[in-house]
Amino acid sequence: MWSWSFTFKVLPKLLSAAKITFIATILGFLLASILGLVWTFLKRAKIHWISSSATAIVEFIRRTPLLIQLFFLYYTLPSFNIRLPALTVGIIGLGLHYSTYLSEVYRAGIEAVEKEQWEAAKSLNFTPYQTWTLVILPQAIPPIIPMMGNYLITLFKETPLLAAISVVELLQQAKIIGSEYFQYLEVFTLVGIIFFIFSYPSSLLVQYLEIKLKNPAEKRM
Amino acid sequence: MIKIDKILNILLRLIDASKVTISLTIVAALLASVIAFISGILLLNRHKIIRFLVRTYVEIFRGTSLLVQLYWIYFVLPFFSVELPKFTAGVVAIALNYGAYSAEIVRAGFLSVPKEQIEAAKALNFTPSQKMRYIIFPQAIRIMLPGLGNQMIELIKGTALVSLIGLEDLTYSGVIMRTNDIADTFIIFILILVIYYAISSIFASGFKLLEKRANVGRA
Amino acid sequence: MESADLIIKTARKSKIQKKDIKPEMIVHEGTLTTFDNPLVKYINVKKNFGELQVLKGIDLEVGYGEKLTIIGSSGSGKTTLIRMLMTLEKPSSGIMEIEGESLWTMKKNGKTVPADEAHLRKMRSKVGMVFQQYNLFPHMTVLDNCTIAPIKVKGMDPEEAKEQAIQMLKRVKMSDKINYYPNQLSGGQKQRVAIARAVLMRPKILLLDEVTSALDPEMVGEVLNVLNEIAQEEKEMTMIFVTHELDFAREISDRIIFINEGYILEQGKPESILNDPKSERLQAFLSRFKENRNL
Ligand SMILES: Nc1ncnc2c1ncn2[C@@H]1O[C@H](COP(=O)(O)OP(=O)(O)O)[C@@H](O)[C@H]1O
Ligand SMILES: [Mg+2]
Repeated sequence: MWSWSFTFKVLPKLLSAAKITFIATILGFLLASILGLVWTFLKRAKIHWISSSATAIVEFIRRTPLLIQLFFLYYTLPSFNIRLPALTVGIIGLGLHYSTYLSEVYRAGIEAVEKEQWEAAKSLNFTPYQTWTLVILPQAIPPIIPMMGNYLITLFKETPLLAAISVVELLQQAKIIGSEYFQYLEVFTLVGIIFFIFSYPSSLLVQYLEIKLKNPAEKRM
Repeated sequence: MIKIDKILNILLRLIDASKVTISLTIVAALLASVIAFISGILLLNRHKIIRFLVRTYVEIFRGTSLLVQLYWIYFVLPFFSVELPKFTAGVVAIALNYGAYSAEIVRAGFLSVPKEQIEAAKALNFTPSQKMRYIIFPQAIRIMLPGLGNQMIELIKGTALVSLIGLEDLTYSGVIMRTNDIADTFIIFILILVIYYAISSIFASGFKLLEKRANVGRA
Repeated sequence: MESADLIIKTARKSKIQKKDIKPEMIVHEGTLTTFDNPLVKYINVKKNFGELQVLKGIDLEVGYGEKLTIIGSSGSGKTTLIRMLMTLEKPSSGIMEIEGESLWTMKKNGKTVPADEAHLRKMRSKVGMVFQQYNLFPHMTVLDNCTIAPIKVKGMDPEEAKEQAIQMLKRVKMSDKINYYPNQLSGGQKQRVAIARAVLMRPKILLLDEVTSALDPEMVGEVLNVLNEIAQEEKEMTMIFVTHELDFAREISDRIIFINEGYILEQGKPESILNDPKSERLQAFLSRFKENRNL
């Protein structure tokens, strides 16, 4: 059933498509990290309509499928005269979707910083910007690194959805090869294995970090 | 206005298509719960071999991607003469995937019940099954519900993937409608998002209610 | 059990625990230590946790209706001793009996085999326990905490169980709080409910492990008063107390036993034990208490 010669024939092709998967993962996560922070600040805004609309938007994005969000971006952006390569659209979609998860993580991290730290910053007459960059974030970020790591892994496993908007990443490449030879077993199994050998060790690493940091942010959640 | 008529018309057709999404959600969620509870409990079994086997299942389904699993079940299994209809393939893939994630939640929930509670139940001479039913489960489920609620939302969103094997769910119908009505792309997708949001929110509030019930008597 | 015995032997061989000569047990005059028909019997019971030998050879008989108090310094094995009777802990070796029947073994086809769950459940129905940390069920009201076991375990009619629970809660002065949840109660109130819950099962032996030591000082009195009344009224019920409340022990016990370094070192009537300790160890133990009181 399983053909090793076929396996070795298609493996290089799959691995080169895996490059796209990794690019999408890394850039998508980068975008999510930054955008997540933006949401966190918007949700904390003193002006009520800003904070409440940010909360509503984040909730909406979180409760709807990434797949539709990708379709939405892919098919409607051009009608606003924004023409982007599919991979870029995919990265934006992934980044936007996961930014909502990361904003929760940041919130937990920030809330875990003791309120005395804010008072200390005030007593030293720091500006708000200084308070955030010098006092709060340096304490809020390290404990949430494992949780961020978890979302990096989750995002990585969601990249196959980009196939739906014609990005030829790992899974799409496998499907193309599979239908060409009408031989799906090897390609789809290989894709699964490739995902597994990246995500499983990473999740072990995250667990290790979690234990090591004894994550104070998580206790609050 | 014609526009409103048109929107209404699209909406009705989409709602019709969401029947598939909703039934898929319910069947898959039920199966996923069964899998999650069985595996979660087996992850605490005293036999190492059983724990290892269940752990292997959990890690394989968490470590690979749902869409990969769906493709594997739908495209590869027929080569082993296991030919599942689209709906069944969707149910199986989704249930196995979210069952694996939720097994971990179930395990943690049971672990969270203090051993003093189990001792108190023993001191009152409960049978093992009474101990489970009246003492352990009600306390464990309270810890599990928030996590299971999150998984429920993820599962609902995950059902959209079945459109990629051609099952005519909400997503699939929307994409087809769009190809017939390119001009309405924006409206169609917004409406699809709104429907998914509504479905997710209904289940989310259901879980909030359950959480409230499980929290009775707690500070 | 046999493997645990082995552990002890190897521990001895490797001289982790040096010469363990069983000290002579000091029995004060006029103390009943053996019974024609004991309710509970420990014969040379030993318990170790890994290499730590907690109980090194306990011989003890408890009579029907007896009120027994166990004293001893912290870590001396008092909790372990009574937890074994509740089957929450298994002895490493030795024999334990309730009403002449072995607790940890049973007869099957004429052979003695380790007790199965059915045997343990039968034996457990004779024993009840009140814990230091109350261990009430947080998801149930006071009333449900008190009725769930009579209904489910003893198959009592729910109305009857409720009736009895309310009567019992009156006795522990908690009848005004039957619909409260444990989290809404103070420590003293929780403990009184826990006492009611245990007594309602009508065990032949009720074990009470330092039931006031987790309480704030102002609540100790209310719990001891309730216990005192119950001890007076429940003549039939054997009660084994582990406590550091020596005045209370003096008042309610028929006998006090002092545990030291894994053995019962001294036992006798309360007056005699508390006023006239024979061993240096007990003298030192008691004087520590008097000092603390004077602080
Ligand atoms: N489950 C256990 N595992 C290991 N050591 C234990 C365990 N339970 C009790 N011990 C140890 O056994 C000794 C006696 O404990 P315990 O019976 O609780 O003493 P007491 O109730 O007299 O204070 C202590 O040193 C304690 O640390
Ligand atoms: Mg103790």
